[in-house]
Amino acid sequence: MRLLPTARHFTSIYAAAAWIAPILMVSAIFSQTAAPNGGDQASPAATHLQQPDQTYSDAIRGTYDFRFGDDRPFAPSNAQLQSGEFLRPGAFPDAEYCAHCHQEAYHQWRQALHSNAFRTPFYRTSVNILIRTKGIEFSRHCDSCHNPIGTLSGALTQNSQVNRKFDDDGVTCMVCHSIQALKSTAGNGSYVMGVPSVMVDENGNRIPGEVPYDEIMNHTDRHVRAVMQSFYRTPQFCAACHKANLPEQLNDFKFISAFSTYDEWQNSKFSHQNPLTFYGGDFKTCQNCHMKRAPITLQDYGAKNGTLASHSWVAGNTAVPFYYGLDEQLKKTLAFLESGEYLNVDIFGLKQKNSDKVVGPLGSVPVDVEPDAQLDAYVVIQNKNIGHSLIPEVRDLYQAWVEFNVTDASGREIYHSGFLNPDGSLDARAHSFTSMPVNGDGEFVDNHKVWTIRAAAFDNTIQAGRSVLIRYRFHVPKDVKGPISLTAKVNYQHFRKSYLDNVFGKDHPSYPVALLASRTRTLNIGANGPAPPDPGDNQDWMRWNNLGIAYLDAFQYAEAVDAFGEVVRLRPDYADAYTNIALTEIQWEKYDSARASIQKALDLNPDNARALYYSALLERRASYISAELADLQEVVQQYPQSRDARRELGIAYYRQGDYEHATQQFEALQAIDPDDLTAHYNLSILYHRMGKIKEAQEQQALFVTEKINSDARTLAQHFLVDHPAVSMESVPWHIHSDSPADSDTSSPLPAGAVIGGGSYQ
Amino acid sequence: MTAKIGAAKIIGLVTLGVILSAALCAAQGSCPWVNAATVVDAPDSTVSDIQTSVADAGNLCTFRYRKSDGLYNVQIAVHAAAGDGHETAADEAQCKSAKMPLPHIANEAVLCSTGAHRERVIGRVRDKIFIVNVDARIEHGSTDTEKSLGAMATLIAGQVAGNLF
Repeated sequence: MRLLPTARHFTSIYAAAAWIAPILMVSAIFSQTAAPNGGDQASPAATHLQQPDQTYSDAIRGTYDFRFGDDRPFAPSNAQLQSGEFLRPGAFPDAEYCAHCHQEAYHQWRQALHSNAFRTPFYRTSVNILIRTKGIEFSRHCDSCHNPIGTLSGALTQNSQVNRKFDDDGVTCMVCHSIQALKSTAGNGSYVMGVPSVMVDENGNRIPGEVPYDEIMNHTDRHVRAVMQSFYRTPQFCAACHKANLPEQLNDFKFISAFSTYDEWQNSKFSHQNPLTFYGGDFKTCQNCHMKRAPITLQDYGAKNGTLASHSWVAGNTAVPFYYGLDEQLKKTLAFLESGEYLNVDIFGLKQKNSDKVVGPLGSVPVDVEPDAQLDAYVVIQNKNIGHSLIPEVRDLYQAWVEFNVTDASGREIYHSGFLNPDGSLDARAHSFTSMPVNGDGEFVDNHKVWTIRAAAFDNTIQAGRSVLIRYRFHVPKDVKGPISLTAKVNYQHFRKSYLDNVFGKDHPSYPVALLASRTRTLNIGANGPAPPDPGDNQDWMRWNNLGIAYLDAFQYAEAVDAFGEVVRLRPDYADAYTNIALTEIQWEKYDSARASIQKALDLNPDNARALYYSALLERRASYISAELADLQEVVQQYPQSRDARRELGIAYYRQGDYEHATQQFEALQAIDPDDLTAHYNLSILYHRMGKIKEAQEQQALFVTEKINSDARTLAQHFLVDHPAVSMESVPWHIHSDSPADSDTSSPLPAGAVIGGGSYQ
Repeated sequence: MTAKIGAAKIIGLVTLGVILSAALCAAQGSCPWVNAATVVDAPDSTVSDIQTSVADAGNLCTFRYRKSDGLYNVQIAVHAAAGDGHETAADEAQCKSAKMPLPHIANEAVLCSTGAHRERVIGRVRDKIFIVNVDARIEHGSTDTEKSLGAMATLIAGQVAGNLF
């Protein structure tokens, strides 16, 4: 027999005995008790409640620090309670309760990152620094997603007396399955949490807390109505937590974008919402990759045809399952990362010393390798099938990098870049897909103290569908024993060593390194003829296309045009090849030749939205306003969620003086991305013209806080000047070499030019 | 029957409320590693006579309280590691049972019994050693007391280590 009352009893008791309320409030705070799991509980029919535990909420309010305003109790996060009342931790039926009928889902969840979102040393080390230096109230920014029950129960305040037993469970079943709405795609916990309910009554009213299992089994439709929402299957649902910024309330500075995985997906080929992707593909959501259906091994009433949408959320984190010894999750994660489905590695070509010609694509063209020669290997890494960037989130903590080595037939190592040092740290000259945030003193923010971040010294990543070119210079020994093998690998590790040192001290084991993709080419000393491709190799036209994309993103326009020209030669029917030339020439400000290229693309495919978009930009340049409008309207018609098309159409209307339609476009753009700077800027002007002064001021304020910090470049430069070993990575194109003299860049662009990322700006 | 249960619940609530509010007033500051509600974690029991004391700038916290089956004493100690690799040897020497590793809690964390109804977790977070002692004077013993005391010590140790990281 339970002596403490259930959630439902609390309310009725308080209603009957108001005089003991002050005492009972303390009990309510301390107690985490929910309704019993079965047996002696009251019938849900007799205990319908639409309101949360008001007494608990009132008690919390008495001591809670509303530091960021009474109306935003969970700021600096965007989390919101539907009722406006704090939820007692016990209001969330725990995962064990759900496990009674959903054993498979529970089993997966217990090993997954969601259940371990809070308790891990990796997270606690970071958030504890925030708590110690600024105060626990600031941790609501992080915990709205890492510990939603702690946040929404009001536990994140000084001297809280809330039972923190839930810390071990992180994001529980009833956290996700109680979210009733999404506020926007702004992230930072932009969800609206309802009163957790596993059943609705016959009228559709939510019944708080646990109910007997037989009630659920007798009314499974009402269970489904309580715990499922159609938006749970959308990427926007994931965006609530898989997009983040550092708001002014957190850093006492200004808005800084942290990561935007949702935006990256929305801009990828998988969303079918962006006409400007380089390649097309099947529509895929976050859930399609990270919640794939799989056969169940344990009983689960949620299964359909013996399969369940995975609640393992397998992704990139190997550290947490490694730390906890969750072997099944670790195995799944490594299998996912090492499936070979996501990246393509292409050792594209070789360049001899004192030659401008890159000989490639290797395997398709003959190439000579001579002893005592200096060679530059051109390695192209394509983000082929990830629906977001590599690395998508907090890339200051994780590391993905390219390991490139050259050996001869005797096993002698001729060149090696991207190795792990004996102490576990990464070769300082490796090409890494990471970022290096710096603080206001221009120093690296090593401990994920995000509130101190003011700029990114560099931010290297590969956005979805794009490619990067990495150059390695090595010397073939005079006495080389052929053939030589060139191997390029993309490795991935949670976390970089220095962060692990921060967490554990230096005496921790080595953490797993996953091999995401690799390619080896073997070359004879002397002449090499064509060789058959590996099964995973791209066709030659795509190899050239990826090289062109990589050149384009490194601002090497002439080389990009040449590479795309090779695509035209190999596939003259491929309209995008001409568009690629055109968009490169637009960036290069060679508009006349761009027009010719875009016309060829449109001749091949008159309705192609991508070509129409760039055509519109050229028409704007030539003041063909009606054509520009028509083309952009067609693009928006085909792709109403295209940020770029909405933005440019808004500008087109604005230039015509059609402020009403311009406003519509910028508002639509803002609905897609609440943090779009162009929308803020233009709406502030448009609203002002319309006499909407308050709205104009709001947009102006948003623009001012969200625009890139004007000191960012200076701070980045300070860091890079002091750290020449890593400064090379900030330059759009550079050469990796064992010889420091060879590591100079020929790029005319300044160090610190952000080339692929976008975080911490 | 329902009425009896309801009455018992009201009495239980009132008792718990009075006791816990009194305990709050009596507390000498807050333990930085874990709060009383989490230490007690007693959804199914009446809890009374909670006393919390915090000493040594928060590095020694003691919680004493009574549950339906007896008196409980929870002590949490945190101190700097000497760095010689033998920091926990003396504390572990008092273990009278096999030491069960708790690798998910902290570095070198172990759970052991130091006597009848006495459970201990010892662990390290970077350069800090922590020890959690749970000592129960059981008056109405049950067969799984040791097991539940061990789970309790582990839960508290998880909170302490989490806050030390």
